[in-house]
Amino acid sequence: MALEFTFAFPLPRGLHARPASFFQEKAERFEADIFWDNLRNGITADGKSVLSLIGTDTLHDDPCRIRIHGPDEIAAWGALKHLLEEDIPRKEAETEQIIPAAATDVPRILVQEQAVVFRAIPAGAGVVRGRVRIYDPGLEVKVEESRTSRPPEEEQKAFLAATESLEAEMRRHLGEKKDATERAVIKAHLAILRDRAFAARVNELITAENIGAAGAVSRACRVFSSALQASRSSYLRERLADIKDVCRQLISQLAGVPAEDKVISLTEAVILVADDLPPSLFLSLDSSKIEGLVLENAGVTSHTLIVARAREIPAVTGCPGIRQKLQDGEDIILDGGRGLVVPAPTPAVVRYYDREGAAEKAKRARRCAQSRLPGATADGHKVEIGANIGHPEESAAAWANGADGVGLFRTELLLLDREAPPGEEEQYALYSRVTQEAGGRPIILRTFDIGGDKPIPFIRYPAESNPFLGVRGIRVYKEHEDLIRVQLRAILRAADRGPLKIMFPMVSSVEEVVRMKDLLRLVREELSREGVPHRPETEIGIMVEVPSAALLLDRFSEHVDFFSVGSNDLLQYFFAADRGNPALRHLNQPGHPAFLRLLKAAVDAARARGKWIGLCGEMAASVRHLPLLIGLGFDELSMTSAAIPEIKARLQAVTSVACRRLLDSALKCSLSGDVEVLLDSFASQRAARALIAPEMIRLSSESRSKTDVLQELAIMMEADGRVDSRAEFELALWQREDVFSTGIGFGVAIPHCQTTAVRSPSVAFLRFRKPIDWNAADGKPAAMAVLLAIPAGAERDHLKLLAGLSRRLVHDEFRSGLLSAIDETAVIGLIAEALEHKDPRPG
Amino acid sequence: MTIVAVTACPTGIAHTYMAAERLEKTGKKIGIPIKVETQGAMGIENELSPADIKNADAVIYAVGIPVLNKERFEGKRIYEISVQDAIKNPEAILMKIKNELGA
Repeated sequence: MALEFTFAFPLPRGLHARPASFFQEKAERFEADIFWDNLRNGITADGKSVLSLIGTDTLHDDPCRIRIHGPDEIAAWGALKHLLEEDIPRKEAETEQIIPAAATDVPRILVQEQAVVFRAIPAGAGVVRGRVRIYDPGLEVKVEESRTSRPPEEEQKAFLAATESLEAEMRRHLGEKKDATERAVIKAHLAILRDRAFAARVNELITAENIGAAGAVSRACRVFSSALQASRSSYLRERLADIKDVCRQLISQLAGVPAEDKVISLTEAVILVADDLPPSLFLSLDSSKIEGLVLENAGVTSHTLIVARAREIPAVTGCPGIRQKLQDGEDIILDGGRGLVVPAPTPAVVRYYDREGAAEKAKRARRCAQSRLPGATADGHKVEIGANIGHPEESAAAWANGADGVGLFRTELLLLDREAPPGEEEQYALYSRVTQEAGGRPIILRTFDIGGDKPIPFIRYPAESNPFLGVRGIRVYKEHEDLIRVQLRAILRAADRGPLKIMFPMVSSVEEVVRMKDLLRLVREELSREGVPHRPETEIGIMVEVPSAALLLDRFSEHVDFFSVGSNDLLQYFFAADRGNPALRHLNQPGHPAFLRLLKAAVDAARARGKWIGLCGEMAASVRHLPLLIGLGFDELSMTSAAIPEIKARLQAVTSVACRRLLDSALKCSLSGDVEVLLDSFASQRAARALIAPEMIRLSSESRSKTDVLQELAIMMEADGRVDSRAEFELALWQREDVFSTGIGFGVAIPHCQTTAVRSPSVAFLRFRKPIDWNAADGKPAAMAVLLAIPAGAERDHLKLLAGLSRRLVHDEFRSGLLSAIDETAVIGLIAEALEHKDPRPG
Repeated sequence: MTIVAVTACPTGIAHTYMAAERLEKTGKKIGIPIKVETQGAMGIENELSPADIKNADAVIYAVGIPVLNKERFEGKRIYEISVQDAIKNPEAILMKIKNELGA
């Protein structure tokens, strides 16, 4: 006969490796066969295999059954029942930490759906759903899985020997560790190593497929990982790391870890997941196949991410360990703007993100229209808008986005990923192509900016303890004159095709420029002697990215024609804070008054000498800092192409007079926080729009839930240019709903909020095709919603108007007017009348 | 009989004014003079004077957040309700107070 008992699984994080190994240890002691049935999903496991137990995907409160069959079944029944009811909950309570309540700054739908969400730092806006491709040279357990000529018995023997030697090693580790958590992890690893289902699968693969032991381990690893990967519990998913870790160690025992495989070939579109993708590798990939980028440890301004943003690829960074939690080929949603990775999305989550994706697409279409705007403020102050490019391929995007020129052509990207530097003819062809495609628009070509921080395969650098402060940029040319001489020849020749300017990087003293000008003269003479067509009078400029240069522009003006501030490097050198270090983000503040003073000194010196000065760092694309840059008086701002349309639209929304006034106040501040306050109030003072417009009215909304409605409102507000961040606005609406429902009864909901995300006070109106439950005071579903959106620094006049509208909303005749209004004009009429209804208080 | 009231809600944008409107209109309808002070995003408006408070038979707090300057109402008969209730059913509330005061 057989015995059995049923129970609801007690642990909040489900059956993961640790409790599974407790169970397996106990089950091992009995002769009887022991099975674990998860009655929710119908998966059955061998109770003596940890991996098999984990594979049941048993979550908190799942109904489960233990079946026992064998000679000692009565003893086993008692022992296992006690274990599940007493020991496991107690042991786990000692080590479990309860996950904090659901985060509030993710889209509410993810909380409602209890989705697994991995957080990261936003590094490239956009939403994409796609398949994961992991680039994991260090942790890859991939080995040759081809057939072997050795007899299977030998491979099995090798597997056993590797298992035993690894086990001995783990036990030695266990003896050394004192910390209970670390010991528990090693024990869990030991259980996986000795797992009988795992060993059986490996041995079976060796005989059935005739593959080597290492290959069999690799394949078995995939089989068991995919079982875990299907789990909805984020904690269980994290156990993937354990299995991969054990398998990797086994493989290295068996075969030695194979050399790093740096080549990725992409055959289908994927979301690439990596630690920190080297720019050379990223550039070597077919960008049409990369739908998204998830990097564990890249700085937001790393070159890979800069290029990704230029290509409008959604991207996130700062999510250590995510490679172990995702699986090759799995379906995920990447929300680059919010910095979220959502594996195994449910249909409701997919629906939400489909709408987000559509909103992003509409946003791009609007940008296309903005790209055609002139680069000028409302009062006609002109600012050239340039594009930063790294490869001739990228210039098309620059022109499509409405660039007035290329403000920075980073030529060093041409050197990456090759065995020898490009020759003069090759460079000439590339530079000519960019110049020709520009159709007369200026191109600022920066000579190779290389050094220990951007290593190039064919150039040897001395080992430096701090490459950012080492031999880089113009400093490299002394040692490598051939490299720069060839480049200068190619540039002078290409300049014959159009306005191509030369810019030297990383200049810190005048003599560096003088030396380069001497070299340039030699190159010109050379070309003339050889009778090669070229342009002799090319403009010359320098990058202003070292403070020592920034403070000496009057002197530099005697030698060069123009300047361009490299704000990323200038900022990190000025504050002595590595820009790639996420922990120092608070120091890398471009709005800091000291930095603004440095920029002002530079711009004033350049202008006093009649020299053109631009800015080509990430700061140029910052909507927030734009008024300061206009106030400073830069002739040009050059940025990633994707940012151009928005910056052009923002330019049109401000006046140069107001920007100068803002800058004057900012220069007097002592903290960057003070400047931020000024920027906030400046943003809210921008020309207010009409409180309500036809675009803010929908008379037959398809929304089916509160979640839908708040998303729809956020998208409407963004489409009409009324919010800075759609996501932030939607969140603010939810936070207000959390206090108590805005369903006031009478079939009306009044979602509202006051937040910095709102640009100008706004009213929106939605009438629903089907009434929506809003948790109203009177229990009635809402037939319509009236949105009140207010900026942080709203003026009293606006608040008064909205208070008046609120008062009218409790009047029956006003509401029934809105319910029966035949078109948008009628709604606007009613709302406008309510808004203008002066002092509705009696007496 | 006269009543004074204070309305206040978390954002001070909508409910404060809706509740005020409902109380004022309903008071008029059923013949109870009622003055309502709003404590919203614009600060205190239609502020209750010491005389208003002195002459009132009862005070209504229709609020979702703490009332400012509460000490003014010391010793008065106070009815505290939620802003939602004031919007939903002001007539029942006023009638109940009226009955309790026996006026």
